Amino acid sequence: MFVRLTMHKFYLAFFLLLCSFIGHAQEYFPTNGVDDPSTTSYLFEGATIQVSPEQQLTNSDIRIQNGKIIAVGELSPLQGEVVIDVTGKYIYPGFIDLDSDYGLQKSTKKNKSHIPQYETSVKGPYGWNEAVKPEVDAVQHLTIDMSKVEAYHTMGFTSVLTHHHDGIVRGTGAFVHLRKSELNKSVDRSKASAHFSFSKGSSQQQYPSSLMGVIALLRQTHYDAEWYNSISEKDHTNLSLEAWNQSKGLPWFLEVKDALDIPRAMLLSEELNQPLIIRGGNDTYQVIDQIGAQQLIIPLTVPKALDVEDPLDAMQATTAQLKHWDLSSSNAAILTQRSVPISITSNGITTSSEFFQQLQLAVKHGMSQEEALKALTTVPASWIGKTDIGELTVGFQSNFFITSQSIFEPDVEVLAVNVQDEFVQYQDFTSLNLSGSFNLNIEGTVYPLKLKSKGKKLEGYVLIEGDTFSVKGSFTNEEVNFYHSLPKNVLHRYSGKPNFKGKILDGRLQTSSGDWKVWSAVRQGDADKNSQSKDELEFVQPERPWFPNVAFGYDVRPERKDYFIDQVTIWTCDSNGKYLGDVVVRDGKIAEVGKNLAQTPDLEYINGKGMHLTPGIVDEHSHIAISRGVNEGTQASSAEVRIGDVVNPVDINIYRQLSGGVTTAQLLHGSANPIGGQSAIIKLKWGTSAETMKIGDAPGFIKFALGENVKQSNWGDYQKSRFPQTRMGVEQVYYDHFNRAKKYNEVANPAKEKGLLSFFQKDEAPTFRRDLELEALAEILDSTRFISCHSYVQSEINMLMHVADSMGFKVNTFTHILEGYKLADKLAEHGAAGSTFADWWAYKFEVNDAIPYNAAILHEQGVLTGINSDDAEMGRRLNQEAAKTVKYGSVSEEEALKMVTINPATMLHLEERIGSVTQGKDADLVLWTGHPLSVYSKVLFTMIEGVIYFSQDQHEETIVRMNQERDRIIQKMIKAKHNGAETEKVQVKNPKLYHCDTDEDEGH
Amino acid sequence: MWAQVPTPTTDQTPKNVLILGGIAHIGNGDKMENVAISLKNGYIDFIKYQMGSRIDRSQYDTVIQLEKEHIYPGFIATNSTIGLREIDAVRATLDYDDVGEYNPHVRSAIAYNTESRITPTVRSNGILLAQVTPRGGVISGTSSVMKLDGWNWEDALQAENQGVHLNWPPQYTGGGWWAEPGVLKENDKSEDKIKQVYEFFREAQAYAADTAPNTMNLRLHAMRGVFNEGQILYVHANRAKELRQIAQLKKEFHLQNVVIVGGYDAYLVPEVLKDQSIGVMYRRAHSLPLRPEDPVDLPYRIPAILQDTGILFCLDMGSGDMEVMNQRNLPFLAGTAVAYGLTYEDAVAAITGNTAKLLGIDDEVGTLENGKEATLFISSGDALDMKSNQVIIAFIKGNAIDLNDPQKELYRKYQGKYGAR
Repeated sequence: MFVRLTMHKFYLAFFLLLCSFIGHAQEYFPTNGVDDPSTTSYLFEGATIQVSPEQQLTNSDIRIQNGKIIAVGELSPLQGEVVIDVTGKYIYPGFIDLDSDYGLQKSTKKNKSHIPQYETSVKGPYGWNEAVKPEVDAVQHLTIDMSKVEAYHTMGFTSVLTHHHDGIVRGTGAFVHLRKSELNKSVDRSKASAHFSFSKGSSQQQYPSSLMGVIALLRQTHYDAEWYNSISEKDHTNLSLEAWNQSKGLPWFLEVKDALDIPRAMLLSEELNQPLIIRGGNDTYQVIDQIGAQQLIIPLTVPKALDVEDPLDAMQATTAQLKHWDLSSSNAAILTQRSVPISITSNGITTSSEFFQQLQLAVKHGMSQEEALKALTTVPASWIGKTDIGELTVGFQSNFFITSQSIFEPDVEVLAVNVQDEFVQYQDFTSLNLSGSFNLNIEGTVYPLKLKSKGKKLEGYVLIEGDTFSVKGSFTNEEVNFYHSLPKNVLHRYSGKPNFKGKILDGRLQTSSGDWKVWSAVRQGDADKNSQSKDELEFVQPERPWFPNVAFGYDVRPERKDYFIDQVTIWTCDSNGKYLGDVVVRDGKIAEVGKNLAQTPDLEYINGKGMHLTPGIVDEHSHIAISRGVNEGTQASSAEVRIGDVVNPVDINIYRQLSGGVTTAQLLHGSANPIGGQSAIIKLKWGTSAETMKIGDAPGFIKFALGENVKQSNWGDYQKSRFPQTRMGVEQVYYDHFNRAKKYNEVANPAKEKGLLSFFQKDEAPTFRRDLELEALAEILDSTRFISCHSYVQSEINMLMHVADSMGFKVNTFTHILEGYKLADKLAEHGAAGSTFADWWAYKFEVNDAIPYNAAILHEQGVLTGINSDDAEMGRRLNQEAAKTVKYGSVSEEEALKMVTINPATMLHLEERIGSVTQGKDADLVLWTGHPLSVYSKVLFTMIEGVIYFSQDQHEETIVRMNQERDRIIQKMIKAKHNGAETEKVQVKNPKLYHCDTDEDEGH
Repeated sequence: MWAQVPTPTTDQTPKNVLILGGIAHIGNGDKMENVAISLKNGYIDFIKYQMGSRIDRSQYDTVIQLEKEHIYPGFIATNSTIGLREIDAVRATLDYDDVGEYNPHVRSAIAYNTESRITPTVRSNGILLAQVTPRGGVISGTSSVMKLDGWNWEDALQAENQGVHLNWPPQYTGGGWWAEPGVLKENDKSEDKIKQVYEFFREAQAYAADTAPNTMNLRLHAMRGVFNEGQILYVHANRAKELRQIAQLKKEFHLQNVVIVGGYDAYLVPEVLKDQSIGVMYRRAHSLPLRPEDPVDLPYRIPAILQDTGILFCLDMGSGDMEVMNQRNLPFLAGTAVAYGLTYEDAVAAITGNTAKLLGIDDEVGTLENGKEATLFISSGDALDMKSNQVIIAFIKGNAIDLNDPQKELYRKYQGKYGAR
């Protein structure tokens, strides 16, 4: 004997009874009242069951008991079983969201004080940095959040991995089933995962203020934890490091801010020898070439269309914004088509309809339904090592949701959700679906009628004598009524009932004159669906991202070619001087330079008559192409941070500087502290990745700084507490740090010789704590890392040379060095180079004695002299800045050009490779319309290693292509707006231009 | 005698000077080669071709014989805080931005520091006049044109209180705060701010119409010239919609002289500006494009585009990074404009004759024409190209100024240290 509940009764029994089949707690918990044991099984009958992403059963049944799936297939009801009729409905395994802060309180920032906080304010024996809190354990703060449960349920989610979204190291997460009662049952696994991010969060501590600081902090914490783990007799307790070490076996998740962070996170993962699941955004397609098989969590969010009807507004929308709007719906598709393993998070989406719309949009753009289901069920389950959820297979937990139709059809709604032994019904299952096409028969005359039902509402239209009239109405399972107008103020009002599950409707209608007529409507089919699938479900080929996906990105990356440059005035910048000749480029190198060279047919011919050819310009001092912070000026020394971790390959200024002939740039840390961070030396290979741009085997450099910036002279009255505040203090910072570095080398060098730098690879216990800061400083002592020191005033320049002499190394380069002319003799004697501005001065007190003749004097006194930019704008005109040394101090033209080519190349220890038009060097060449030092000359092309990354012709073509693409997307946006899409006013990302002095907290 | 600012000449009686030969760039779009220029009593007595002219050399104290040298009217810096700021990072040396949103009564002339160490380095590149301009607020204050020579502000004056400066409410403002500048947003306060500007102008117009107001209102009083006396209203703005709004303001209040300062988008709405005879001081051409998709060289090309539209414009080094010291690079903005399509003589006009018109001083200076003040200089090479700009002689109202500057002094001093030359 089994009980077949009527739907209505079932609804009452389970929806009103706080949505639970059983409603009792753990058996060992005290009971108030009589015990309510249940071993009843439940049978859901007649549904389309998505057993797994690959397998769908139609007209099948599923049996559950005590929160588990007992059977799936064609089943007969058992005795004593509750049967639930879900005929025609769909049942899906509950979705799993791995990026949630469900049930946890958000961290808020304390009141911002103007006084900088240098030390942690956390109580207890934890680590030194407030943003590193591996000890935080989400499960200990977990509560049930009813409204969130409902929000998740109606999007199909039954389980989440929840963690505190605050800090760089965020602690452990809890894997939780979304129940409305019984928190103890909710928690499937505490300490299920460990969480990390590239954002500082609510910490008020100064360090880190930059992205590179964040990355350095993660690396250092890793080495600290390794060391802490290895010491047998600890002389102190650090609960943070203990927690870090305990999280080692768990899956690690890292949240990034944008697509460019993904390759950064992947490099970190490699260094830490620790797989990371990366939580990305809807822009991950932008780094598709670099992702490989990296596990990614992505949202389904898409940006709103922009309000671009007014062409003057549309102009403000960046190409990057437009392209991203166009491509973000294809994000999931692009990833899955390249077999990137993804898991989908609902994060960023709040309503059920939006979630399913975006899911369908992703499918429409080319993600298969199977991939979509995997990304929501089996993939996230496997990533956290769960083998009993994600499918509707016998023995699995009974987590599923029931929908009115396939989740890939428009207007799908979640009707009910089952989580373990808790059942929540959101809509009456039995609601009829009246959507479809009908033949409306009014007293013998037939009219076509199309209806669409949503909830209890009806709308549609009727075709009468060639005209369509819109229909509106409402219905229940027992009644249906609707109305439509006719010409001459006539209104027909229909009242009736549905029969045979809505296949036939009949009743009476009243006309405006008060007459009653009999009507009936017989369902003909799902006409609606067909028309919809044409309009909305049509597969859309995703547009291709550009390289990079911003203004002036390439649609096809330029290729390396071999060239013959004929009859051009060559400024060799080597001992051959300037002459009229030819240049052959092969395999990215300068193959031959000389007069009357043989031209072979395999070489692309470039007529250089009347033109000038120079080496690519080398900028010793640049701050372009850096993501989120150029300074980690929160400590007197930040030698551990690396610009190389945060190179931004999509900065438009790369392209702009190419157009000014720059091919190589040293991206320097800022000048906020005496010992800054490590540089990156890049070639401006627009359209490639950060790693491709970096000159891999370039020697290491580090930024030092002197003067007003490092003593915080112009930072305001609150910034008076960090040592040093005087030039006297600056000297002591150096002695202190180099002394420590020396001591470090005493332990580190023997270990290094044994190959003990990464302890995980060796069984032998580490003998010392790897310190990234001291390691960089020790490299300076070993002359394997070189200093480029921001400097103005002669006294302190002299001081640093004394420090260097006493420590046995040389200061490689003084950059800016505006008072260099006052001690050019000493610089020459020490062997330091000077990289200066042509004519800057008067911006600070310490540059009051700066003179534009500086370069000329330095050069005359035998100092290797360069002219640098430190400025994104001026970087495009470095040839003109070099020309100023001719004006101020009568430097010869050839020597002037060397100040932006071979001289800075030599400072960077790359003179064997770049900086002159010399056989065997990299083919980094610039062709100019005229004399390269003249204000009237323009760049015709800029070549790096045989690839023309910029040319005038290409530039003109790109403008046409870009405008066409903009127009296409703008039209699409306007169409979207007219089709009812929500739009927003144009907002422009304000590109950040860095100088040495830029000191802003961007670690958040 | 270390790093002194050179001695002014404004108390001297100008000598009579005859310049023979050389290439004269008139400053109005024309050029004359092999000229004779007579400077008498501080004015240009005549300029004519040497060939076929009979000139009595005995009338002159000095005769300068040139060959291939170039003669230019003194270049004019516009929209500058020169003399109002010395060292950007030292607050005590900054005198260009006062408290308050509507400050037309604040005037630059009296704060102009003739002892600035920067000024001599600027004029030794050919910049001999400057519009000294306050900054900040909605109405920053009143500018004056100064000669870059003088014992004190009074004798340095070229044109006192010649313009009032209005910063037009921007259509877009940077969102966020200093730590996260992130997003440039449409300025939702711009409409309100524009309303406030209109209200202020209505009050000022009424006040100006009253010949004998009962109560002195310093703010409104300082606006009278804009309505009655041909004082120029300089409105600082760059984007097309803002420029359109400014043209509306001019129409609404029947303002006689309005000049846009900035004007990056002026080429997009030329008919609007021409219709209202609004000129443009085009912002520093050596700037990055306003928008990432603007062609990289658009800022360089805009002068040529403006020339084609017929809008009266000049080139402005203007506000921005290190603006005062950068004024010495003004000639090279013109050089860049030549590289990107402007004719050479039009480029010279864009830092001389056109500029004088936009400052309302074209009757006095700006071109090498009879009757104009003898404010001009000679460069041994092309002064618009950094590799050849070498000013050898410069006159301000007929007096040859000392082209020395503190930087040259330091140069010589340290050459001495190394025993060179």
